[in-house]
Amino acid sequence: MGIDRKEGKKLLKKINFKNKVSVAKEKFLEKLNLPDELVYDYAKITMIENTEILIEGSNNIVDYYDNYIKVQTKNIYIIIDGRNLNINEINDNELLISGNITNIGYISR
Amino acid sequence: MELEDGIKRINGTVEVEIQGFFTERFINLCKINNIKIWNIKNIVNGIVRFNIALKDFKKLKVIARKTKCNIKIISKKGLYFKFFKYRKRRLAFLLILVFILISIVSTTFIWDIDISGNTYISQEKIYDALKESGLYVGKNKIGIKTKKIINSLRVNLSDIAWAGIEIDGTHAHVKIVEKTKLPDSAINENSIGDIIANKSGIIEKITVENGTSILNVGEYVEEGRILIEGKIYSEFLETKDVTAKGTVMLKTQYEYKNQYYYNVQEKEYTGKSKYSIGIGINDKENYINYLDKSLNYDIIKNSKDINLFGNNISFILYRFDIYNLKDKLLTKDQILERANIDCENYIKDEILPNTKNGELLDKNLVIEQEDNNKINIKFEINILEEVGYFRERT
Repeated sequence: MGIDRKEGKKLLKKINFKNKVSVAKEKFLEKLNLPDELVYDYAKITMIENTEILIEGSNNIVDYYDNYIKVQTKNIYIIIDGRNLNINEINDNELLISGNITNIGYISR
Repeated sequence: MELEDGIKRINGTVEVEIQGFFTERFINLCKINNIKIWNIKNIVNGIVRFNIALKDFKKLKVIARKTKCNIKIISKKGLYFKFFKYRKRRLAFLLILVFILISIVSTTFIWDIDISGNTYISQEKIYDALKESGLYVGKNKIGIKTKKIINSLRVNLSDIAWAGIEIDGTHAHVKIVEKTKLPDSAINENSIGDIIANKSGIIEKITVENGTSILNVGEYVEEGRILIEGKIYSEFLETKDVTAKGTVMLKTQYEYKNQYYYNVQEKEYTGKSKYSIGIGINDKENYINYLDKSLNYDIIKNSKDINLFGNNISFILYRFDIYNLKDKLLTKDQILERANIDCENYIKDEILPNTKNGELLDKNLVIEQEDNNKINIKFEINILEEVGYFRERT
């Protein structure tokens, strides 16, 4: 099983072209001074002291217990420890958690 | 979107408990299927409670089957459940319906008419004319034809040059432009006549624009005498009849008399006051009376009026200032000072408004009679004013 040298060259060319396009796209978006979370689809986390936490960006709940919540976002897992954790609002784009938060951790996917 | 959610929540919300192994998946599936859930609480491991709108509740069935969770309803809130609970009380429903109907129907009537733009035609006359033409308080505004009303109003009241009716909700605004009347001087222009004195006094100044006057400055004129005659005498030509024109300034005299006592009772305010509320209907007033009759009160009113079907209803707030009457002995100087102030007020309020270009020249004080307990005071007031009215010669 092998690829023809000609076909291999074509594939390489395609991959190179795709990379170039994506680099050009990033450069262009950087020039526009748009916020990162919009450009790269990062999760944005906003906290109010230790009582409320708002996670913006596409997310899924992986684990949900009274004292532990694990949320999956595009690039990382967010782990929230605390007591009496409630999900106040769940939405396509937003997740609002309230309770007595003691710890936040991140694990890369 | 938020408004839609609000309406859903008013309609009815359910608190649901799910039990199973994959509660997280249940929540994620709800999110993906656009089912809005809120106030999610984890009670024990594997048991989750949350709130959901009544409309979305049926969609949970599919998700529950997928995730193998059991659904239990904890509590129900909202209008749908309230109505369901009282569904057999038909009279209450009927009353609510009747109430809504009455409020809708009552907005189709005219409750108030206000008229603006009239100066010499009285408000009541216009009201009556409007009533004759078909616009009155209590008239249904459906099918009203303002053009027709305006035309008949103009027929009924000949002094109106233009009228406009604007119906704004339950109010009717009537705007009126009156025909301008010719001023008296314009009417006098072409008729022959004289200027007659309507007051007696001494002539201070006389200017004749048209006609002849045989009076001199300093002469005394009685009421009813001709001041300027509408004739021109000539040595060579025949006497000619003209319209008398001119101004005559007279020095007229007025009097102000009053009696003053040395012993007077004066109000002394204690600084305390009481409050009460009342309702007045067409000048009849009723208020909550809890006052002590042995005390004296000054009543100060503060009212808000509402016009309902032509009746004037006012809500009044009363303030009663308490005062004591105290005897006081005045000196002669104080009495004279008071008399002076009274006289000046009399001149300002009574005399000058009734004169034409009136002006105070001087006033003299005369003590007519003096007693042990009272003084009679008279003021002689001299006023310079324009007199004379036009009378057509027949």
